[in-house]
Amino acid sequence: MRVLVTGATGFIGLNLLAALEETDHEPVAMVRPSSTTTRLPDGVDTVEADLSDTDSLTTALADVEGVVHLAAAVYDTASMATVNTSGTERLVEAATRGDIDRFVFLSTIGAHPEVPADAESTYQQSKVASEELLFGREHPFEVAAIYPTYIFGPRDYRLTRYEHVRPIATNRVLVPPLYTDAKYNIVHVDDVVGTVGRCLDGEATGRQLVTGPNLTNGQVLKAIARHTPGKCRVVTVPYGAIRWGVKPAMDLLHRVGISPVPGEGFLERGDFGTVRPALTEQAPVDQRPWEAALSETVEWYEAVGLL
Amino acid sequence: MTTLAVGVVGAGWMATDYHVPAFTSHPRTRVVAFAERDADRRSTVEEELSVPGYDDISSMLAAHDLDIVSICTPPSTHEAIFIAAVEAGCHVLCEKPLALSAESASRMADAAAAADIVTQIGYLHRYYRNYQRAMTILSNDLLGDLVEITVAHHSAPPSQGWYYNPTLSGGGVARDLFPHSLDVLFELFDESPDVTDASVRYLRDRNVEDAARASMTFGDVPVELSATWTQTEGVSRVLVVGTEGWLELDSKTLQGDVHGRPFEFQQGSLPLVDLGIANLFPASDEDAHTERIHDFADHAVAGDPDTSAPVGRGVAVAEVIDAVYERSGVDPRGER
Repeated sequence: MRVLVTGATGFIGLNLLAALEETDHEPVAMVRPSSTTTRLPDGVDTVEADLSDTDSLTTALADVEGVVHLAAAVYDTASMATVNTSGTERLVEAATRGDIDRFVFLSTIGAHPEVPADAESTYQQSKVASEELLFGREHPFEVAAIYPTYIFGPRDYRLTRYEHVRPIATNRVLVPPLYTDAKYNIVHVDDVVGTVGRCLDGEATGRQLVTGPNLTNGQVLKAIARHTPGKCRVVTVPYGAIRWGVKPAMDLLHRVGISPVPGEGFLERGDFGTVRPALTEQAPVDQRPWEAALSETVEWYEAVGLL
Repeated sequence: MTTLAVGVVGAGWMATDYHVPAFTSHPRTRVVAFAERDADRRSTVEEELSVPGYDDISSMLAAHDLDIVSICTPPSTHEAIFIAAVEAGCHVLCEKPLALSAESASRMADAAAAADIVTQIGYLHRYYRNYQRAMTILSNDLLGDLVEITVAHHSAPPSQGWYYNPTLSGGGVARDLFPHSLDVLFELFDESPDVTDASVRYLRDRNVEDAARASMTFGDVPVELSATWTQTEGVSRVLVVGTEGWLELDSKTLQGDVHGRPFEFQQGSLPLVDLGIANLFPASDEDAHTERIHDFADHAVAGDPDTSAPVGRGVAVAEVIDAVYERSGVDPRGER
């Protein structure tokens, strides 16, 4: 199937294009004039279009049968409403007028109806807003939406996961305040692009969770340390020690002018995609181990010279 | 295991501090002779190295069955020595600048092409671990599309007199310092630049320029080069700006940022400790001079002509430097 891929130059897009080379599907990478196309696989077709321009979308959809919609503003809060919500709406409408068989949408775990969305997250809310667009109405094509948790893998050109790895690569002992408390649900990017493939094959439709096991901070940081050069030792401490030890110590260092920030930020408890136990380890593909997701991310950072 | 016999031409500091120790420490090469015109220097070095010295390359080539000739003499002598060595079937490591002009360099390249030998020009920067790491980052497109590059290379004025004699040196600071940076740029872009603007200055009333600037474009990427002989301790720094990040490096520190994620290396290594407010890097045993000479020796032993900078690279570099002088409106080989 000839497939238009939006967000083709992003993290999941580049992994998807690499994976589709092994299949019968023929991707057409939708790029904006400003996109860096040097990272696209050799010989892949491209088409210039923009989610803000309906005419360009109609042209881009002219000779494809499938759409994989990965493009989204993930970090630029100001563009989320226009790109993620209105952009998706324009693309769905253009696809409705075109001759499209399958439409695959990459959502996020918090937008799944069975997972509580984070009301504070503009990004999650922008993805929730697309739910109605995709599942609240009839379409002349099959719709699939994919809800991954926290994705790791190679080709992370935006370095979105580097902050989890670098402190481990640049220290021999990792102890708070070098990390803050967090919990994770990690999936391999291969599981996400594999799920896209299943949806394009027509073997999966509707809502598709792609989740791994829920993991503690210690599990994740120690796994990263096992695969990162430098043999860092990760010391896990109870949250109470951060609360009553690290925070006051950092406050003191801040008062005497050594630390640029006070201790408050070190109390942060991050949640990177965890779900209730019944929803863990779900995907319509044979899943890659979460530790491989971490080790292959580290390997990629090493290969491109960042570790 | 056979070893290759090396004859070193020129017995100045470049030979005795770098070439001789490096060929001696390489497991497959040994220095068997050297040539030096100055009789006093020749006898001093003969005693120091316990290998015979000759007053020129032809008597050295006549007396020894050499496999490698390494050239550490002033640029004006390179062509004749290089061609003599090549015609004797020797592999050649030649210090930069390769020649007084691109024309001279081309004659050397032609001679090398007619012989089945391995050549390398002695560019240094690419052997620093920071440069190697930066090349990995750049060749993997981590910075997105390149926007511009700025190179500043400011060294101490050379102590030897020949640097200031244009008939011996082929020019001043541009001929001396631009080659290192140009070699790296050729490696990165794999094409020749257009020199769009250039100028030279004479800050200390010397016979050759001691400040030079050049603007060029590699494809659509503008590159600014600047070099002077002004410092006590030299600095050579490169700033690369891309659409998705930047990096800046010298031989000691490499720093940069991609999509707001900073990174820093010293001599190619990550910190041992990075507390955010302070960091500590490991001690480094980096020795770029030895690495470049060992790399050449490895290629010579393997008979592999595809070195980091074969003589053809020297021609390409000389063409750019000739263009810089032409744009500046000066004759680099003439008196002021």
